Amino acid sequence: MRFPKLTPAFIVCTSLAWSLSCSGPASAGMRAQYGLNDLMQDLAQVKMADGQFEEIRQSKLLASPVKSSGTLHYSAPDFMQKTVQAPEKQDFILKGNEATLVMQGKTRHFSTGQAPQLAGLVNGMRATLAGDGSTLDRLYETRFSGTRNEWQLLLIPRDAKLRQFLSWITVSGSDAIIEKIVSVSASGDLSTMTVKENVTLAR
Amino acid sequence: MLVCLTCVVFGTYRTDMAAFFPAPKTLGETALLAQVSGDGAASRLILVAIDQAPETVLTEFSEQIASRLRRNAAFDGVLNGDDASIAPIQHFVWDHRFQLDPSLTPERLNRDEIEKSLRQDASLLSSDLGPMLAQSLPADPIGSAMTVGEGLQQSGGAGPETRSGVWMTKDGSRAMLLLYAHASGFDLDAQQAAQKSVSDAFDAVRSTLKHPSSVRLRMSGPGVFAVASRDATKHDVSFLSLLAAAGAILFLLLAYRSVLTLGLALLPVIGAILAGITFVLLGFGYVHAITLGFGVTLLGEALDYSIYVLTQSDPSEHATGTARSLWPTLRLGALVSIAGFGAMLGSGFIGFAQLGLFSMVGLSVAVLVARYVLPSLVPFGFRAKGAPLIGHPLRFIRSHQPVIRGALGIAVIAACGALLTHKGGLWQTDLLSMSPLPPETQKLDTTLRNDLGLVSPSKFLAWRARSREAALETGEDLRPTLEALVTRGAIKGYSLPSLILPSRKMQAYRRNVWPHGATLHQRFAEALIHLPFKPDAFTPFFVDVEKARTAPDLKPEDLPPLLGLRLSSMLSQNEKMGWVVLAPLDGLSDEAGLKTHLPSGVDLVDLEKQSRGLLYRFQHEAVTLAVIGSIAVIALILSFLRNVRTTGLVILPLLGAVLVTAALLMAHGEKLSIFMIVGFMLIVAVGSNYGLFFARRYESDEKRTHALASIMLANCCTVAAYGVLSFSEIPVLHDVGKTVAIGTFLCLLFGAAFTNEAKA
Repeated sequence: MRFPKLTPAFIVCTSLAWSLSCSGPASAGMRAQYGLNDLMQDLAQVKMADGQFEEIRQSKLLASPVKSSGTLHYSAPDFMQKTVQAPEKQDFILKGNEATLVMQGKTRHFSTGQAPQLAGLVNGMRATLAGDGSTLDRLYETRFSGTRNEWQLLLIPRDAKLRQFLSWITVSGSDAIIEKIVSVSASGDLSTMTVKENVTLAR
Repeated sequence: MLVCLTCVVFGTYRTDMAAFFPAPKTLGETALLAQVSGDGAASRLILVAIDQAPETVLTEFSEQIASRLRRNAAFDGVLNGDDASIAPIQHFVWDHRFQLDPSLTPERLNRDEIEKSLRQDASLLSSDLGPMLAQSLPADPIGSAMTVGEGLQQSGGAGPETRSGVWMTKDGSRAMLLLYAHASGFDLDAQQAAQKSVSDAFDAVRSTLKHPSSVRLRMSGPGVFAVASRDATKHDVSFLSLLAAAGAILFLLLAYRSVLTLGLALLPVIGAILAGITFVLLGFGYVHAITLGFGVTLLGEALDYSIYVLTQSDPSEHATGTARSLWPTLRLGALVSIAGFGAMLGSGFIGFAQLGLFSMVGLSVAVLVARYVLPSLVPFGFRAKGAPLIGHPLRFIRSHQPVIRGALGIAVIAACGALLTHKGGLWQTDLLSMSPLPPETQKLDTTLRNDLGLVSPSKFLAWRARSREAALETGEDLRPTLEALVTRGAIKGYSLPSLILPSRKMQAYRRNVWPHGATLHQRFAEALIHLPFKPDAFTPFFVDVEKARTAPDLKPEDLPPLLGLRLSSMLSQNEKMGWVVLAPLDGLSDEAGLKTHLPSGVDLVDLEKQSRGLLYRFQHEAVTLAVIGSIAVIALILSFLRNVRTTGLVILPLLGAVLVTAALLMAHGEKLSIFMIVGFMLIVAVGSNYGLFFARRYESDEKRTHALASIMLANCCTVAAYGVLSFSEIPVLHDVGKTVAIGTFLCLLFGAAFTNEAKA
């Protein structure tokens, strides 16, 4: 295992993992403990998800944090749209291998084939949403903690290139519902997104 | 003879299709032939597919092969989707972003525009791409690198998916690599060596596998095709010619039952081949392998002369006497054939013109050898022992003429009917059909190109210039027009050589576009007042701008290999036309609208239209030449025989044979190609000789028997030789071989049935 040395990010992530693994109530009872595979199975059941989010981004380039809010839409297996409504309208769409960013009347296309780092990020997101455990494991070191009602997934990029700008992500939620995504970049930029979503499960 | 041999041994031989096609006359044809014949920068491309193994194994192969080939000087570029694939271009674009950014103008750098850029940066930073952009933003707040990158991306296709860091199909079943060989597609030996290093690298990786698997390597691309078609041409020319020769020799042995005589029969052929090659080398500087392929089948035709002399030689008058008495017919036959082949000299196809010259010289030599050298070498009292047996089928036809005439008459009427009522066009309309590649190979290429997202553009803007700078400047002047057309939706995108290498004039302009350092700082400070950025966030940008003010001019040799190749695919120097630019257009939807905006000297080139036009030109030319050749043949026969009826008896069966041949080819599902038209010409050239001998008067039954045997034997050798060629996969060999084999055989039937001895 290649953990970053004693960087602030490392300390934050280990403390997070520690606190979560301690705080998990032993509600699983007689059954085997709820784990990553169970979570992936639950997430794989999600056919469609809609929600609202609030996000706070901090960057060393910015004098103060930027707050934004909007809606999220996911449709299995590989469509995701994030629409920012405030402070400024912005659309971010993931479809297959194409990422599209629409803002200020301009549309930008990014192909994951042309930006390998983007591929790592996008495929990671997609694998999490689709409950594709094997892809997720290929791209990230994964740590699962918590219970079915209150789980947390820590993702650390395996690819050194990806780690150059993304140190780690934590995704947390309850059942098949994602509630919070925190990501920390290598330069120390931090994004915290809280989500309220409704999911439609496959029958 | 010695001179000939020296020439033949040291002559240049070419196998590429470019040498076979006519020289381009317009910008559009230049573009088209560059695509079809594997000329130009695109010819260096090698597409590689690795499949039939689990994804992890494929990834391993892709990485290992790429790392081996990157150490090999035979490759200018090795792309497999990993970071090293695109890093050189990314670095180049980043390092030279202020030299390449086409949007850099003084207006772009005023306070309002800067504020607009920075506002956009703030949004980007808060988007999901933020972490990625955060690294470049401080040094590039006006987004130059992204503008340059987008410009390079236009009309470039989406590219393949990356799985585990390498290019792979969506289902993970096939890994792909894209290689740029250092050698051009023309340099076949170097291309072959490069392809061998790919398969060597593959084998080396496979040998490290613990479990030997079914993993498979496949390659495609112009260079691969060129090598494959050279091999196929070499194989077909040497192997099939040998086979054809073997067939002919078998017939000769059957007729003469003497090895010595067999050697004698081949004498005019050998003389013909040596002289033919020598004259083509002298006239054209090189011999095309396809010319050689046909030239060797000339053996079918040149052999005829020895056959006529040897088979008809009568022990009572010795071969010299026979040759003397046959000479008028022999001479006329040779003249007719030479006239027929002579028409081909006028062909724009260098290959056919070569074949014309080759045949004319070869036949002249062959007929002279048959008349003056061969007979004196024939042993006294020679008689072709197998002749009565061989001539038997013709004697049968002669004795059942009414029935066979009826049958053949019906065949001609049916053929006319079939040709007149044929639906779906008689003509081959696809230029690719002339390509010497088997369909499976072409299919593999299409699959790999789709996998790799390589779209070959079919529409270009084309212009010429006196110098590289002038060519680049024209493109730069054109850019605002093209941008407007993109905004209007008339085109989706475009590519210009100046996006990769700006003209020196433009580079000087961009160096001086920056406001004074203090002014630039002032404008940023004002723009940042209402934005959330830290005041010192863009220090790296100011440092890089200072460097850009004094950056040396970018030169073609500064480009990373891949961009260099891309530039030379758009901008090339041509001996006849100077500097030629072919700038691809993407998604053209309003052709008329585009044309009204083009300045004079800039043309829209549609490759598909060009392709059809060029093919039409070829077909038109082939038909014209065939008609001219046929008229020459008729005129010659008429002027020598001085008898309309006999001339008709010789010519009309030929017409019948050509018609039935055409109908048979169509019935077989083939479309008429220009190669078949050439085949028709050859039918007339060869078949007319049969007619002349059929129409000749013979003094005795025995002479008649031997004459018929000689015609039959000549035809057997021709059908054997051309029939073997029809097994070739190379369209030109296949088409001509099949046409001539069927046609000359029909000439024999028609001649035997209709052409009787002329009355005294």
